[in-house]
Amino acid sequence: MKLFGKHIISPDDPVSPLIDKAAGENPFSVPENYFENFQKDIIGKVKHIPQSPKFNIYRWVAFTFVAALITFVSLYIINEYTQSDSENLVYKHELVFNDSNQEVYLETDDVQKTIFIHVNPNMSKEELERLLILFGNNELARENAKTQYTALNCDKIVPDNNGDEDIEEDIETDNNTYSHFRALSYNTGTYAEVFEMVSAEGSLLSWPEDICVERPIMLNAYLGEDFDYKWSTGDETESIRVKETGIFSVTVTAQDNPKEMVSKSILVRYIPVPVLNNEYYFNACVGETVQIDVKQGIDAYKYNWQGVNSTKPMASINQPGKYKVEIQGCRTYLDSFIVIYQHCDLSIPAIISPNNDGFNDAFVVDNLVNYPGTSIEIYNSQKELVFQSEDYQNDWNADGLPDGPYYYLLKFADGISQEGIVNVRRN
Amino acid sequence: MPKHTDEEILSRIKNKKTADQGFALLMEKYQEQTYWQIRRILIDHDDANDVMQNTFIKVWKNISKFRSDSKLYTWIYRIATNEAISFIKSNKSKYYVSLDEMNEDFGEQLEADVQFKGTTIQRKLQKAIATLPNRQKMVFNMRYFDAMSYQDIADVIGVSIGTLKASYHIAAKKIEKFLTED
Repeated sequence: MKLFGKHIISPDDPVSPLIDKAAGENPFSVPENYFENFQKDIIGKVKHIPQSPKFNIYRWVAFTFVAALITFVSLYIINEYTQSDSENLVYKHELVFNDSNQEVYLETDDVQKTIFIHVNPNMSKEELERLLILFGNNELARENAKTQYTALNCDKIVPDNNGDEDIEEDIETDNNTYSHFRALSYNTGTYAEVFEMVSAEGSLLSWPEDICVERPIMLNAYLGEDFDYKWSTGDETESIRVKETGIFSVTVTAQDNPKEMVSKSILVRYIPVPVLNNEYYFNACVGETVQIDVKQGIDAYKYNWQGVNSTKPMASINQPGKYKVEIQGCRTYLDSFIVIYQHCDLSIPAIISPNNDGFNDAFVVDNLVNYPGTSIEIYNSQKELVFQSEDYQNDWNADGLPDGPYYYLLKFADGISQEGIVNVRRN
Repeated sequence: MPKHTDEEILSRIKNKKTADQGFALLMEKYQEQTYWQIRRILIDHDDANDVMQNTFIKVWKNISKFRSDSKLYTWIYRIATNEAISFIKSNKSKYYVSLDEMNEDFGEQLEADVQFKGTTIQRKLQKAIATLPNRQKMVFNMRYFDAMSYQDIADVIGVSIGTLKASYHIAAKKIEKFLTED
């Protein structure tokens, strides 16, 4: 039963103590042997129902590759037969020099059909030369790449006329086995990049630089059957399952040509969904500080308390009210709490016996003298106001009222209020 | 007989030869609590039975997609909860005309229900729960009857714990109010 707007519930109690426990028992029943029969029935049925196949990333990637290959071959054939040589390029490409120490990367613009090759200006001539992309087997494409590159007028590099041969020796151009082209640096093997004309989402080729995950993630480097995989973790499988924060890299090498290799790394930040505090209500005595702690098992979270100036996992609270904290992992979560303050030095009787025997004859709140100006309201079980005072003097004795439970609401001058039930029993 | 662990059950289901047996174990372990979860939402036994059928057939079909990152029972609960909601949405429910809307003669219907053996106070509580909006109803049921942790409820319903706490708080308040009203 509840009379006043305020609820004081022990934080340990998972359910509302104000709802009759008897009501919480299961009032429903089931037909006899229902569960036994149900189980038999379902088992009989599922025997004829196939299970959905497990989602298989390899199969999916393989499928994508086959689809991509078909697309590519078709495009190739269409190009061969319908277009002139100069239009043979699907993409034109531009070499761009970065200011930073950034490594090489490629960028494509599908609308303009342009590939931007971002390179580091601090690269040595040799490195750049080796990096110089030769797209496909097409002479014109190669030439085009060179033109763009020269046009940028980089004084560090003057491509010589024999450049083509030199590069050809070093670079294994794609023989159309796969639908993507590669730009490889043989120098260190670390900053090579891969460009793919047809997207193969889910594979190595589409890895972002970093990723934040709340569940373990599968890193998949699958490029094809005839490749060896070597992970920074020591694994040699096509994919690895990651459930920790770290930088993971993989080097993929063609089995028939160890020179054809590509490396890629990714920063994985693994921050699970935060476990929020199971408590909602905090009861405290006036003057005490309540510590609410939402600290998570790992340090990767950011905390932001609203209404409390704190970015720590724990907040010290000394005012009643509703408090919220944002916990930021991969996403932001919100936890909330209600803090209720009471005057704990008060002793409020739960029962009075106004029979003039000198004991418990009135509703006497011990130490009330410390709180002048305390108002009181007392209600009977029909919720009717039976007594009221703006400055309670410990003098209510249920005069003229029958025995039974009464509800009191004490409001202190400092804004705190306390409520409860007092039983009147004269005998 | 001690109940089997989820790992045991799942590994048996994975193996084609023992799949039936594994699934029987899964049902043995979870069918009753799943049934009560559904029954508390739908009230009517026949409705609950329909949804149970759909739920466990879905569980069977999709068990290979179950990711062991979450608990098996919260996964089953989630399927059951969704099935129960679609059942109400499809207007097949005996007690609910549409979602979040209770039949006006709920009390009398409950009285006539042979599978409802509750006392007056229990009937009143069911009626009170029935007046709650859908999410509050589920949160209240899971927390009050199943004593599930907020984290598990969040896994089933897919909302934040902050929202859940507030939902539960509001639901409990409404029910208190309903129960104390004459």
